[in-house]
Amino acid sequence: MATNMQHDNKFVLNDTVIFDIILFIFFLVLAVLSVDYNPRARSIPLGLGILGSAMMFFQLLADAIPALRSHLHFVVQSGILGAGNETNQKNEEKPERVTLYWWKVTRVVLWLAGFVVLLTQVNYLIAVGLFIILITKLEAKESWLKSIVLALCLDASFYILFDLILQAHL
Amino acid sequence: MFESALPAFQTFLSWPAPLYMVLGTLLGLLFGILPGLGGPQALALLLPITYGMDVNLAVVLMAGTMSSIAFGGSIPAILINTPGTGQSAATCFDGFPLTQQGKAGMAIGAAATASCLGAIFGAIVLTILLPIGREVVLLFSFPEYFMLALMGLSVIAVVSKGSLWKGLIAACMGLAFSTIGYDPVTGSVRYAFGIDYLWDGIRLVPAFIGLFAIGEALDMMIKGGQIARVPYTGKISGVGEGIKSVFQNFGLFIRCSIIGTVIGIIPGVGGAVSNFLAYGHAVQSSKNPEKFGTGDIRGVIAPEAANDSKDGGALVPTLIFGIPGSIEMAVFLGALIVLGLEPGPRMMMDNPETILVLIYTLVAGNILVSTIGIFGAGYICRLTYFPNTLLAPVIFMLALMGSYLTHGMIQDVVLSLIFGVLSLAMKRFGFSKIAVVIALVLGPLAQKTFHQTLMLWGFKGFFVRPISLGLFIITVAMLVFPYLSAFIKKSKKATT
Repeated sequence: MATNMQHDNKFVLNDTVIFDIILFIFFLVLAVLSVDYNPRARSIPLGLGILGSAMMFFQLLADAIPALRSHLHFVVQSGILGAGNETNQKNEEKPERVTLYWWKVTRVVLWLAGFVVLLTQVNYLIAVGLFIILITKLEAKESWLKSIVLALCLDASFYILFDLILQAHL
Repeated sequence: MFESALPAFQTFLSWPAPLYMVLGTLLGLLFGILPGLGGPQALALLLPITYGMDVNLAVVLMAGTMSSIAFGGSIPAILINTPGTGQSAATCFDGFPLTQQGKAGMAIGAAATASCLGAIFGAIVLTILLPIGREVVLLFSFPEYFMLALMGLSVIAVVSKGSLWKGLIAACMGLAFSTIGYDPVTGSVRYAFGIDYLWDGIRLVPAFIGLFAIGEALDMMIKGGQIARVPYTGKISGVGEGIKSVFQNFGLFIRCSIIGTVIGIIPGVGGAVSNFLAYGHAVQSSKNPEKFGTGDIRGVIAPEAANDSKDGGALVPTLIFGIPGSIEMAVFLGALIVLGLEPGPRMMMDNPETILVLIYTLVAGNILVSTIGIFGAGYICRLTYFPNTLLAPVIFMLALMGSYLTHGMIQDVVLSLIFGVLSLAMKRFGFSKIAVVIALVLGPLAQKTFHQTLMLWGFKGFFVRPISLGLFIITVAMLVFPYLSAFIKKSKKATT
């Protein structure tokens, strides 16, 4: 118990806390930048920035220093459907699993970013086909046959939908 | 509004509206069946396609989709114990045991009938309540609209699952996004950072596509595996018996339809709650509650009736006040705005025909999907054995290309991607996505009416008009209630 308490008093740095910090900075930037706008244009973003950063500050405290949770009940309070209850904290994940999770996210997002770049360079049918073949083969480790069949089916569907029916001519 | 009933019916029947209804219904069925995907994702993907389309046809397509999602989700819940949507979860409790007993057809028949009749019940309630909108419009001015937007945001935060605090932060985040670009009152450009694309603000279509479709597909891609968890035998018989069982338990059906409609009317609560509440009611009101969970047909009828009647209920606040009744309605509301309609009290006066077309489609779509479900459930369920790693790339492409299609701008695709990553992070860290969506939709209205009120009446304008003051008091009460309730509980605990 004592060890747990000692552990709770420590500052925790996990992905939850990092996301909290990002949101805190987002609201802070929102407030700071709004100062340059004319008084009427800044009133709402300034208010939101101040309110959001204050709320995120408490959220950050509760997530980064678990011992403070007992003093910050309002942060974990559930809404009307769970009135009177406090929301359960997610079970602590092993750091390796968290790293693996975000590594996977990064890889998939990079694939998608690659598709966006490709879309600016070549015809969309080529971009879609290439993306499907590469992501299903290299990321999802599916067979070549499945990858190619899926790519062809999707290209054909897009051609019918976008070019023939909607006449979008992308 | 009722004088538009016949012209609206003509519009609904004139070609190609029936085709759009069928296509929408099939799409909704597909998205309903596939767990992880649902109404918001299907509607988000439809947004770019409906952009620029005739308003009534677009509404038919989207309403057709909405009408079939709830029942679509129940098919895998009954056949393979995997609810297609959260709102079909309670159907598993007795639906799957019935399948295990070889009575899958009976469960499907009962679910299809209860869903279809439940949807008709919801649509009737909606039709009765809608004319109130006409009266409401005369009572509302800028302060009331502002307070309504504020209340809408607070309701969503308060009734969202998980932490109320995080729900409010998400609402602030959504409002913050809505301040990007031209200020509707002063004309100043805010937070554009020299990027021309941002002058028009955050576009709803790519943002919704990112929040729902990309976010969900990212999650599927990372988790891998396949949707279905148990082997499927494919044997379906006894449908007629299932249909008959709804009429044999008609009292239960009506009570659960009322539960669904009422829950639907409360903004943000959604189908999952109505589903469980109806199931709970069926158990509590039964003389033999021990039978539930072992394959009692009433355990299928109750959640299914509530599940589909809630759609009609959820359209009441969406259409009358412009406050979405559920997450699907939030996306639908955004779609209506993109189509140039103004959901809220004015819509009753300006577009009665569109509203009636929507209601007709909801009813017809439900009849159609129930019929398809009864005859094709066995085949349709095989879709859930499709690997996530193949399904997710298809969704990525549909989403990103859909985003690109709207304006042919690559920036829209990038925005979708950014919102997709944000959506994934929000899901992981327990922030409400629906609060962001609703804030994005209601943000411009809130800002405009805030300034208009200040210019006309000053700050006191928000509090001197009775409806505005009433809405403000309700908002504060809703925000305070969970904390007050917790405080009272704690005090009681301390005294005992």
